[in-house]
Amino acid sequence: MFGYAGRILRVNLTDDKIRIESPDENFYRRYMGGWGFIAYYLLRELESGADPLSPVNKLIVALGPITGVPIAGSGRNAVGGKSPLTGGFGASEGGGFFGAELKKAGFDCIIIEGRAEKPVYLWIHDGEAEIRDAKHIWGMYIADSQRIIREELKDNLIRTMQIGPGGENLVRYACVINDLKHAAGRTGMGAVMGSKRLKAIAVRGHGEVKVADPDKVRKLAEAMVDWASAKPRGAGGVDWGLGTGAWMTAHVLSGNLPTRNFRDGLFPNPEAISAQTIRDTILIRMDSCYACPIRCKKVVKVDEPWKVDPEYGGPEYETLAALGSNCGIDDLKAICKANELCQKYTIDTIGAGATIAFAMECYENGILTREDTGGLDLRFGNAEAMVKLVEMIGRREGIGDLLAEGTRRAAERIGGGAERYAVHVKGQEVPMHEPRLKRALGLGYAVSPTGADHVHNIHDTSFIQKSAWEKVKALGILDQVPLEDLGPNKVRLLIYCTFTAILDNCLLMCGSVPWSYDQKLEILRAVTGWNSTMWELMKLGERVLNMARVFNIREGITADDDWLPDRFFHPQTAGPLSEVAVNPDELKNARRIYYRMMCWDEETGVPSRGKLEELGIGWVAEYLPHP
Amino acid sequence: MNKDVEEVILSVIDEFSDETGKIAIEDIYRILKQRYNIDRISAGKAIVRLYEKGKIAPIEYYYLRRTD
Repeated sequence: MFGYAGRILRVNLTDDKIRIESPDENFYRRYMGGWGFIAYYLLRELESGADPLSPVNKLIVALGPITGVPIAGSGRNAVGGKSPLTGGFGASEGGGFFGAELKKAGFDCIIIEGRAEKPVYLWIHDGEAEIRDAKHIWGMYIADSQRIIREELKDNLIRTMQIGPGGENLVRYACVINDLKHAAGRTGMGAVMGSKRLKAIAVRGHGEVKVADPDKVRKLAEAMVDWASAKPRGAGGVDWGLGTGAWMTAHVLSGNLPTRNFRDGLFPNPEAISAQTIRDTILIRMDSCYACPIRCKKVVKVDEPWKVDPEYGGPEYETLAALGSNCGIDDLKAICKANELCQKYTIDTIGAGATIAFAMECYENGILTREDTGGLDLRFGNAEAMVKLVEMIGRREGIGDLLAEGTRRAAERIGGGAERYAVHVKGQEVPMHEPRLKRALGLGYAVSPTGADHVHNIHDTSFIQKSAWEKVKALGILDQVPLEDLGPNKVRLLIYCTFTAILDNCLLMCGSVPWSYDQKLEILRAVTGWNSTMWELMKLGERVLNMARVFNIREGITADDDWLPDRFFHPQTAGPLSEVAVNPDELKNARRIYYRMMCWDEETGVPSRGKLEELGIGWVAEYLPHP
Repeated sequence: MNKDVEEVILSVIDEFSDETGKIAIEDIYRILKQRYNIDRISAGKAIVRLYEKGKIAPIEYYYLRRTD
């Protein structure tokens, strides 16, 4: 078998047992990797109703066939389990070098079970694995713990996936971070890792990923290097090489930049927090992931008033908006400091920023007081308070303990109407994209199996560019629909875009690399030697989405949870969306269309047995509620 | 000073917009820096103010046009 190591590592931290399994090729081809593996093992092996932070939950680190192949976008891995934020399907993807190293060490997937009696880390090297004591690094920031791991194993090229104090303290939106700065940010997998008392996974591999057609892979890799070498300008003529966060003014003028907990519009200082301003002031270099010529990762250095350590990278768009405009903050250095703290503590920057924005709105409305905040003046715009609060959340100190629970749980405990300021779907905080502007994205937030997510989703505004419509013609989408449309044609577009994004999450191909559908298919065929088609890959996306859906239904998530927070049913207070809100009837109708197109029950959203059988996963139907 | 920057922006739109009246936001920033040494943070604030005053509007997401 090409592309894969052919081995899955199973580690039980309760009894220290380590096993290696070798599924057959059909397993690999049917579920591919990433989300596919995670959904399979969660459905097959996790008991219904399990507490996500109990030893029963599983933490699954999954690669794809592309991972570790020397080609752009192949440096990613997925991490999954039952989410402590949503109680449903949890999965997130991170970049860097860890995934490629794990494949070279001889594994496609790690399934971690149980809970260690004392803190441990997992050391994986060239086909072997061992559980090692981590008491001496528990509580450390991840740069410190990585340094010690490398020193004690005497190898400076070891790659790590770690948690910091935020994961150890079970912050529900804690993330795991590869190589100090590449976060698998969403759904709280850092808390799951912390609940297992697993500080880190350290890997070193000297193997290589065998591919079926090395010449073809090399030619494809060179094509993307050539493309990147030409340094093409981005949409609207922005310079090459800025990473995310380059269109802040455009976002403001369209109403797309979340401002003060998604309440207001017209953030007054967009370029204070833009990628261009980072480049012109505090950027020291752009970094890349494994084998990638795109180099989209910022590395910043700040010396005053805070010191920001470049080892932890720099802020992406989501972070700039979540810890910036959404908190009413235009202090770039403060955002960089908060980003660094989120990396050190391993806290999702979206979750942290959204939760702090929620607390700020509660404070401004008198639902939280200075007494509650321990003296912090939590008004929107207070950068110092925001930075302080990130650290309090990571340590679960004072009000940080409450906010570490995420907006849904915090609002329930605060009461007094706080729920209307909690901007989440299924318990996961909403990312930094505006559903009052991007209508299909809003539907995508609502129906996502992980709660609100912007990656396995559609961005309606990207279809302002003709090239986007040209691209989806390859999927059979021939009729263009307006930005504000939420009828069948737009829902169909959302569904197909979701399938392709989930496909990326199974291949573990980075969505930021501009491969065409054909090129991705060519890469897969060249790597695996399989005679795959786009039909097979779209069916894979659909299969895995259905598996995640059934998992959620089994765990008690219903169609009522496929909904947007109250905030979006009201206009912004100013700007282009000051008279625009999501229409609940339109959303409900679009949801019904979505269910119908997916062959799910129009009212309950439960997949039909026939659809599951058609997708080759009839076994999943046993987890559906009995009629 | 604020007014000066706003006026310069409007003049840049007048001079550099295409036949349909639109100009890329990014081009405005480039021209303001190169020709007038106006930094993008000040320019960004002025663009938002001009929008609030109804003097400019976004078009095709990445572009602007005058509305007055």
